[in-house]
This record gives sequence, structure tokens and C-alpha cells, in this order.
Amino acid sequence: MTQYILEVQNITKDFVGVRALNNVCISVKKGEILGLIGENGAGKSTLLKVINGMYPSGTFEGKILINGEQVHFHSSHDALIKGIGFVPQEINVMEDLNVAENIFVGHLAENKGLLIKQGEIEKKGIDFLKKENIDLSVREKVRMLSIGKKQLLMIARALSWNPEILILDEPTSALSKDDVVNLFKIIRELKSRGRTVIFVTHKLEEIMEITDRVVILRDGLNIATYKYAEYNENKIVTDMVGRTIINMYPSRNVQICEEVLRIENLTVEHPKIKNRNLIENISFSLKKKEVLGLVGLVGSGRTETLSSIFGIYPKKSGKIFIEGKEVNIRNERDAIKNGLCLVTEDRKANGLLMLANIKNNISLANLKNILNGLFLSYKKENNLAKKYMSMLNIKAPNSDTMVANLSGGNQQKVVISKALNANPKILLLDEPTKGIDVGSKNEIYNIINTMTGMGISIIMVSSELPELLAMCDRFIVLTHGRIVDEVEKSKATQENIMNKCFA
Amino acid sequence: MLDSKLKNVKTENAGLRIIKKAFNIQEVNIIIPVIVLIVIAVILNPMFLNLDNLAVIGKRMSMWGLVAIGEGLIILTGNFDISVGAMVAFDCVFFAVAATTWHLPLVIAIVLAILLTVTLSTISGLLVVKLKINSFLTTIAMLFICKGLSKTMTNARPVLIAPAQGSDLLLHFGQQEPLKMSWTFFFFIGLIIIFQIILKKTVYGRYIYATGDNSNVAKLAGINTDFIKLSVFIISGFLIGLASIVLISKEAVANANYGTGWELQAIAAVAIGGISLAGGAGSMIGVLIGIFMMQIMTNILILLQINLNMQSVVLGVVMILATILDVRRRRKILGNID
Repeated sequence: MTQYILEVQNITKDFVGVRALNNVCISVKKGEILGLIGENGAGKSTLLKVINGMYPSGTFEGKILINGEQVHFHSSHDALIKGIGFVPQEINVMEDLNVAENIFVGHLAENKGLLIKQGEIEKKGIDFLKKENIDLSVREKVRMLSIGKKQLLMIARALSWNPEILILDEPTSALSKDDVVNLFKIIRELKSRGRTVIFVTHKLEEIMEITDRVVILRDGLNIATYKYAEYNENKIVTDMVGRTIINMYPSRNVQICEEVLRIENLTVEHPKIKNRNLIENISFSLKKKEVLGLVGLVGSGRTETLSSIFGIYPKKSGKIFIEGKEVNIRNERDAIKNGLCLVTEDRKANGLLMLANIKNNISLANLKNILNGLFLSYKKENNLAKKYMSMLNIKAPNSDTMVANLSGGNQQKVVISKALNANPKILLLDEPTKGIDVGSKNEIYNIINTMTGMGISIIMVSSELPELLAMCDRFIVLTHGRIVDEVEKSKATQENIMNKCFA
Repeated sequence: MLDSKLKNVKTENAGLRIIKKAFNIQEVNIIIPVIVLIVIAVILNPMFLNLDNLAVIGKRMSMWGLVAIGEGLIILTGNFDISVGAMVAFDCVFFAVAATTWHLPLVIAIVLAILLTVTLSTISGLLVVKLKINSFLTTIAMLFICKGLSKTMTNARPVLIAPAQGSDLLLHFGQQEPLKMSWTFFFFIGLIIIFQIILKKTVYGRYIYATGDNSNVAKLAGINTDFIKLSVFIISGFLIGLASIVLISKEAVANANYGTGWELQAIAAVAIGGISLAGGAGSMIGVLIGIFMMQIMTNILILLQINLNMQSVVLGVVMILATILDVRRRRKILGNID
């Protein structure tokens, strides 16, 4: 009788031109919390899809064993039945149904009769949530739940199948600090009830806090496994990245110059709620080669500030001055004409042309650059792409690679290349390192520094305070759509900035 | 089944790759089904390769083909135009009535006819772009309007062109057959080449792809997506006008039933030829191949003496297959983003 509840042996999976998993072997002990860490592009998602049946048997080489017996999954339902529960990264709930319905939607076929009795589902829900000690109320409309609660709902849904193994894929990416604390409590509770948890993340601090063992993936290989007692942050980072990162946040030595942007009394109305403003009376200035950080809680108006400067939201009032001259920015085209460029939070939805390749994406915002007379020059486009791919270290077979096949970090670098190619004076960055591996984050910080050296001024929004504190020269704190304070780097600490956010 | 070829980046043979690179054509893969279809056609009826038959294929193809070019552009930007067939009918009727009943000089009638379709398409385009009405709904409405107007103007009877002054010139022109192939065929191929170049080699073409792929991204890159979406409607309107004039010059009669089904054929051809029905990918060469395949299929059915109604059934089945192909293709690129 083996002590391993799950083993994957010699898993190899290829996509066109890319070996995503290379002879990966992992063993999971019953009742442990196993951490799986690696950069985006390391193969974590692919491995998970192999384990939870989304890549069915036959699409990869290697074996999966549960309690010593080999299993073949033809769909994710097979895996579910065999005891592997999966909670995906993106919040995925049915907004218009209630909590109980969301939990049991997959089980409705078990009902022998033809009709579903509303009351029965709710009763089942109450019993279930009580048994699992999950803090949700069955009648609550899911649309109204916070993100943390929605995720809890997804976990409850997975647990309704009574899985022996629960896989959580990057569960904390959308959660607040409180929600994360709550989540960890639940995970520990699961462990105390004998369930096994596989916890996938790219955040080192989470591995250190909650896992019993960690497996590190890099470039499709299982690089190393450590027990909790052996945990060493630097060693793990080196394993993840393949090189020693001496300084996560590189220093910058740039002479900040005169004012390049000034915003006066910017007010933007709420598009749906009358007499409410998204942001009110926002005034600040940005100096040339400066990196200005916008700090605040979710909903404080940071993204709205960037978007309205860029002309996406119509202004109710306010003036924008660029290099001293007032400009009228009514839409995105005006913004770009005036030297502004916006890198949005969600690269898949708003950052990249997902049906196109790297070079077509990079050239998009400045096609004049690659013209040869009246026509586009493919040669110039190729050279342009090569230039940015080497400057930003974008890892791909060549510039014809479809961006959909790139890892998150490389995709973000393509988005930044596209912005750089437009020769902006002012770059607005909204969460530039969200969902990106450690190695790429470090590269992007270096790129930000290089850009300021090139004369570009940056306004940056980020939810990761350490990142903001390290990269910005000055901070503006927002709460409820208004500016409450402005702080110089020398006077800023994590605590005093956080306190101001709650003002 | 794990194909060991997956490990290699270079999976296609060198010859195909050279052709692909030279013409920047992704559709080389679709040429194989076309060749298969031709072989089937020849087996079923050796008359297929008869020059007269090929001329008929060329002639038929080039008329609804003009319309398909416009439809392809509209689909590339993420919209649909279901009214193109009805617009052809209305335009033919309008032209015939203008030249005969209203006694307008031929040239004026031609100009007005083209202006008419351009105006109608512009109206559709403005409703879609400015009022943000779904393009399916808008153009279905336009379809009903055009159908109604053509029936009204003709009292549901065909209108002969002959009485119009200058009509013999037009008809003579229409019957010209340089190299045994109708001149419209060369005209059509010329337009395909021009639009292929526009799509692949100009800034405007690139903007069309970007707008169809993701209009938010296009806007953030400074592209005036409203203008792009409207402009393809206008171009389509112009092409529809041309197609109508060409059709009249060949048939000598205007009938309110012309163009029936052309929009569906156009959409099917576009989908078969590799333009994704959700916008953002494909090319004119693909449209050409799709048109070619549809026409060959129709021709096969005619040679087999299958009646018109069965042909509709075949069209329906082909559309389903084309849509499945399209979805598969998109999934492959986007990697199963569900």
C-alpha cells in the first residue's frame, strides 16, 4: 500500500514547436499541502490540465497513478469522479443563480425524478456548508458576493464532489489580504480533515506560509523538491528563475526634469449612477523622467484616473496640460497624438490582438514606422520586432509566433514593446506586473528604468505595495475617487502609505 | 495520438513554406480541398473541363463574387451584412426603371444606381457604428426594406432594359468575352488582387484586421475603429452597385428576385475561405478560394442535374461544415480559451 495518493510519472507534453512538460515526475503524499511553484511558462498550468483530465489520456506521454493504480482520464469529469477536484484561477460562477444552485449544478442529474425541487437544493446546501464549515449563506445571490466569497463558492462547488485531492490554481490573484487569510484558514481545515491539497502559485511568500512541501518547475522540468524544514527563499527563487536575482528591484539613477504633465480638477461622472463621480477634483503633476505611483485600495479611482487622462471616459470637468500647453483629449486618438500611451490591466482583453503574431502586435500603434512609400514593409516590421524582442528579452521561437502561445510575462513584454514603439512622452501603466512570474517582473522593472532613461515619464498603478515603493519617485494616494495625500519616496513606508489609503 | 512531428517547428515542407512566405498566404492548406473538388467534378462529368463550362463558372462566380469581396471586408471588421442580395435586386430594378420608365440617360442611370447602393450601405453602416445596433439586426431590416421596394417598383414583374436609350451599347458590352472568358471574370480577379494587396500591405488593411480582432486594442492603439467599420460598409455598397450593373448588362432584364441567397453564399464562401466569422483573420485569396469552391459545388450539382431546391440543402450543409472549420481554426490559434 503506497503512501502516495497521487503520482505523475514521466509526463511529457508537446505543443507545436514547444515542449511544455519534459519527463516530469511528482509524488503527492496523502494529507499534505503540496506547493507547486514556477514562473508562468514553466508548465504549471499544463501539468494541472494533465492531472485534472482537461488534457485527456493520449494527448501526453506518461502515467498518472492514484493510490498506486494507473488511471486514464478522458475528460475532467473522469478526474472528478476519481477524486481530483479542481478550482481554476479565474472566478467562474453563475452570477444569476444562488449559492446552493451554484454548488450543486453539476449534481442535478443525480436526482431520480425529472423535476428539481428548489427547497431540496437549498436544504442540501445548508447541510453541506455546515458540514464543511464554510461561511456562505445559501440564499445569497451570487452576483452580490465579493470576489473572496465567490472564490469560496468555487471551492465549495469542488468540495461537493468529495474529492480526496483538491487542486487550487493561483487562488490568491484576485483576493484582498483578508480574503487570503481566510483562504489559508480553510486550506488548513481541509488538511485537518484528511484532504490533500495541491496549491499552485508563483508567489513565494504563500509557499513559505502554507505548504508542507514544494515542487519547483522551470521550463517544463521538475527542478527540485523541498520539505518545509528545508525552505530557503533565495534557493527557491534561483531554482525558479535559473539565475540568481541579486536585486529584485533595480535601482535607478535618472535626473528628473521639469513638469511634463499637469492635471487640474479632473472630475469624471459615474456612467451608471447619477450624481456620483468616479473621480473628483483630481489635480497633480508629473515631471519628466519621473515615475509617479498611484496608490489606493481597489475602487479608489486609480484605473479611472488613468483611463480618463487617456480619454476613455469623458470628463465632466478638468484640464490637462502637456509640457505647459493645455490639450483637449476627447478620445484615445487625441491622447496618442499628444504623446500619451496606456498599458491596461488586462492584457488579453485590452492589450493584445490575440489572433495575431508578435510582430503584428508590436507594430500596431505606429505603422508609419514600417512604411516603405505607400506600402508596409515586412522587412522593416521583422527588424522592428527583432529589436524589441532582444531589448526586452521576449522569449519566443521568432517574431511570427502567435501571442496566444506566449507566457504571461512574455505577453506583457509584447504589450510594453507596442507602447514603446509608439514613442510616447508619457506612459500610463496599470498593474504592469500582474500575473507575471518573478523573473519577468524583474525584467520589467529594468525596462521601466531604461524607459525613464530614454526620457519617458511614467504614471504607475499597482496593488503590490513593495513594488510601488521600490519603483516610484513619488506617490499620490487616492480614496473614494479623491486625492488625500502626496508623498515623496524618502518619506514613504509601507505602513504610512497603507494607513493613508484607509483615510 | 502524439504526432512526433509536433516537436519540430518546421512541420510543413519547404515548397509550401516558400509559397506561403512569398505571397503571405495562409490559405495554402485550403487549395487541397479545391483540387479534390475539381477531381470529383471531372470524374462525375468530364464535361466539367469543357471551356464553355469553365466560362460559365467564371461568369457566375464573378458576379456574386464581387458581393462576397465586400461581405468579406465587413466580416473581417466583426460585422455582418445580410442585405446584400436584396440590395442587388433593388439596384437592378432601380437601374432598369431609371433607364426605361424615367427615361434617364444610361450613364446617369448607372451613376445613380451605384450611388443608391453606396447610400443604403452607408445607412446600414451608420446604424451599426454610431447607434451601436447589432449588424445582423440592422441589415436584416435593410433586407426587408430593399425586397419590399424592389417588388413595389416592378409590380412583381420583370423589367426589360431594351427600351432604354443606349441599352444596346450596354448589352453589347456585357456580352464581350475576351479569351472566351467573360470580361467580368478578369475584372473580379483584378479586384481580388487589389483588395488582397490593400489588406496585406497597407496601413488601412492592418487597421481592418486589428478592428476585427479586438476593437478595444485597436482604439487604444489610436485607430479610429468607427471609421474603419463604416468604410467597409461603404466599399461594400460600391461593389454591390458594380455587381448589379454587371448583372444587368448580362441578363438584359431586371427581376426583383435577383441576388436571392447571395448574402448567404457570400458568407459561406468567406467562412470556407478562411475569414473567421468572428472577425480579425483571413484574406482575399481565401475569399477567392471559398467562392471558387462554392461555384464548383453548384456546377457539380447542375451537371448532375440536381434540382434547385436540393442545391439549397447542399448550401446549408456546407455552411455548417464551414462554421465548424472556422471554430476549430480559432480554437487552434487561441488555444482553447473557454
